[in-house]
Amino acid sequence: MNNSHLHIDFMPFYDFSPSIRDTRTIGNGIRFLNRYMSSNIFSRPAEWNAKLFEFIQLHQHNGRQLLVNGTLIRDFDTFYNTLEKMLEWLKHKDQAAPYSSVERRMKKDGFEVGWGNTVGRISETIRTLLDLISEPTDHLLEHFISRVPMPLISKIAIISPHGWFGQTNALGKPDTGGQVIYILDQVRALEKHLVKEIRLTGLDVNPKIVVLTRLIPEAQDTTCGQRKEEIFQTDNSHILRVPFRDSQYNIVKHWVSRFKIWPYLETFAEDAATELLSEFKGRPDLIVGNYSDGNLVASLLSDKFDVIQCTIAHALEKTKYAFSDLHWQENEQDYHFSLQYTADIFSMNKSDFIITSTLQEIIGTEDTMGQYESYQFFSLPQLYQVINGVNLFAPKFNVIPPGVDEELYFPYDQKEKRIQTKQQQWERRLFHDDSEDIYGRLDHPEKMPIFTMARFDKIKNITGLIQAFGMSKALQDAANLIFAAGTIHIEDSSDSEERNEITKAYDLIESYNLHGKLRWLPSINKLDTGEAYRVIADHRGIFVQPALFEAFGLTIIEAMASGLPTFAPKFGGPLEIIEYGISGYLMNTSKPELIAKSLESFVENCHKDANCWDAISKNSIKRVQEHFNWKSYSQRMINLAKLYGFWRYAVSGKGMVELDRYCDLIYHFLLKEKAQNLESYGSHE
Amino acid sequence: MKNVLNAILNKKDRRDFREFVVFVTNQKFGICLRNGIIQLFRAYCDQYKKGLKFRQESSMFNFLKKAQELFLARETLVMLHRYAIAKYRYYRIRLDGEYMEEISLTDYLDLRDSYVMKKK
Repeated sequence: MNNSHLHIDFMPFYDFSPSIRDTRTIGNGIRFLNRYMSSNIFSRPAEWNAKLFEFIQLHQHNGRQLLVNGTLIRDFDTFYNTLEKMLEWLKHKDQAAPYSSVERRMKKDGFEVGWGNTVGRISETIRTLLDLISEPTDHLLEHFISRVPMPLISKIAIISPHGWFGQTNALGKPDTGGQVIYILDQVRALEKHLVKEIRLTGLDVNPKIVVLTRLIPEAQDTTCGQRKEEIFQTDNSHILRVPFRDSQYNIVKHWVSRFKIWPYLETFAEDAATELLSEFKGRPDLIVGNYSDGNLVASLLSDKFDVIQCTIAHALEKTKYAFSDLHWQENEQDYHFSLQYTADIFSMNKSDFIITSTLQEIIGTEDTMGQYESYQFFSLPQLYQVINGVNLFAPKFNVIPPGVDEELYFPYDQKEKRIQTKQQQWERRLFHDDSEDIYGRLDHPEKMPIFTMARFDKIKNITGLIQAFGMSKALQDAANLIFAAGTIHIEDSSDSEERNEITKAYDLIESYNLHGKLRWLPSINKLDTGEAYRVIADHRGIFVQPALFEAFGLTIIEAMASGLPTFAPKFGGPLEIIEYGISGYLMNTSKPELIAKSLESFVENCHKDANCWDAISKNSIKRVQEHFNWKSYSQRMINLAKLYGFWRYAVSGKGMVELDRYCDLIYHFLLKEKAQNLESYGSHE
Repeated sequence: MKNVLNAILNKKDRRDFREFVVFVTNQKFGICLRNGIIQLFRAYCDQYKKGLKFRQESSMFNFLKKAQELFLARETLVMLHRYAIAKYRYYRIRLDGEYMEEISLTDYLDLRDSYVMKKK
């Protein structure tokens, strides 16, 4: 055997961290760590109580000390005694009185702002801490940390460089879809949560969230050429755009595919660091990376600022393209997977914690490999072999599904919330209007609409759905196909993959002669999609997500929240969203005939049982309302940031030094130079 | 290295496994993922007229359904076997199907690389 390969193995660098043994615990890293830390407080109280005390007195906001004045309270024993005395003193005060009424006395005893906004809340927080010290449990540790600014998370940088990140005319453009929706919804929810949480600590601080993306001077009809853009429905959050610069430091004016942006990311991170410092008037408290490029930049910024880094992959390309590691050299010209996979393992290992939408994203199912799991070992022949690229058993993975924006996506039968003019407008656009941006006219608009909406990418497989509809007489007899994707004018598309799909769509419409049975609309503005779903539900239609693979599927929960019976691929995230036959259907999307079979069976059931559509519709709404909401997402994400902060302070900070140095080598020797070279052979497509 | 077939397959299935390996080797397949491996197994069952019980309950099927990757390299069949979530074993199978040994991850990655390099 030839053993002269470069082997990459991160595993030896994880010896500082406890390891999860039971695969059933993967995806709930924080609970594992809470148990580990609380049992340490119990079994090694001297060491861990001291750590806890030191951590509590570390925090400041804009130079103002929070929680404990370390000059007045110098050690854990004094701290514990003072806590008991303070609790006793507070007992005799009006519990509803504000913090200001006890501020002077608390300060005198060494307590600073942050314990609560009222006497009652301050007392509860102190009691929780005393309970934690005397009888530590994971629940008490999480509960205490969630109540105090330890640290204060009020400034968050969310990194998403690629695509067209904007709120106007951006969705549906290449590389621009679910991730943008996810982030904008996330920002709104996080800001709302932080305002409430910070107020409860007694602090008067306005949280600020900045989405860092790329400024595209040739912005077309979008706002992507503007440096700053306020995020709708927020008070203090905005999109900050920083341009890419090439090796000559000239600003890159055109859009660049996500597969070819690697040469620009390091300079982008350096420029962005300066801009973020100025925006936040200091460093952020948390950095959240998104997708491979955003996570790489997040790692560079997190290193620079020394703050907690959260990684969100959205989708890892490795499992999307079969054997893309093995055949990397053939695909390098178009996809540059060698850079992307190196960047992925770099940021997975650098980040403090990783959020996924589903458990499958991490470890797959009984039968199939998870997206993160596929990075455990792989090889890029003649470049390197990965012996261990990601430690799935390290407690950094946490499953937190996103939610739906309840203002936009609510059930179709909540008539009072719907705007009539908008409803009528979408009724006409989806079913009747003759317009130069819409293709097709329906001979029988009264038939059940089969609706889909996605980017016009190969992986989204809209052409697979057209083919399924084309090959099924039963479906054509009972239903119309209505889809919103890309554009009907091929000359308007600058993306080669999209152009291929557009051509394929026209060919299929012709070959199956689908005229009169199909309508094709351009991508729908995000703010209108809720009403589009509801109008389809008014017609007792269905939503079909025919993607070949879906990491999560925001459109799936949006359609379900609107009351549409939804069909989704049985590969990936939808398996954890839909309960088959109860709140929707899962189907094998790998072949059009299998999609057709699945839809035919539902159409037939609806004929036999008039209640079939209503039952699935009601269950879909219930499922989303109960399990996918942004409120609990925000609470959990902020708790994670604080708890991993304590974890970094108490244990991982020192342990991660060696891992960080190994990551540096990987960055400098396998990524940086290769990325710079990419620019020289063209990254303009 | 030792032959692990006895530990994995029952005696009855070992003969079938030999046939399966020869069948697979003659298929001129490339590199297969799990679905492809299951399809090869079904094609083998069809050709050798195997009953439902064998297709669904045999020790051979229970072993093969957890195989994630299969390819020919250096005159052997190489298999990636995911015996539990996120846990793997790597096997090299002689083309007469008589002998299967467990190999190390690095050997497996080397064989995988050689599969691609051979095609260039």
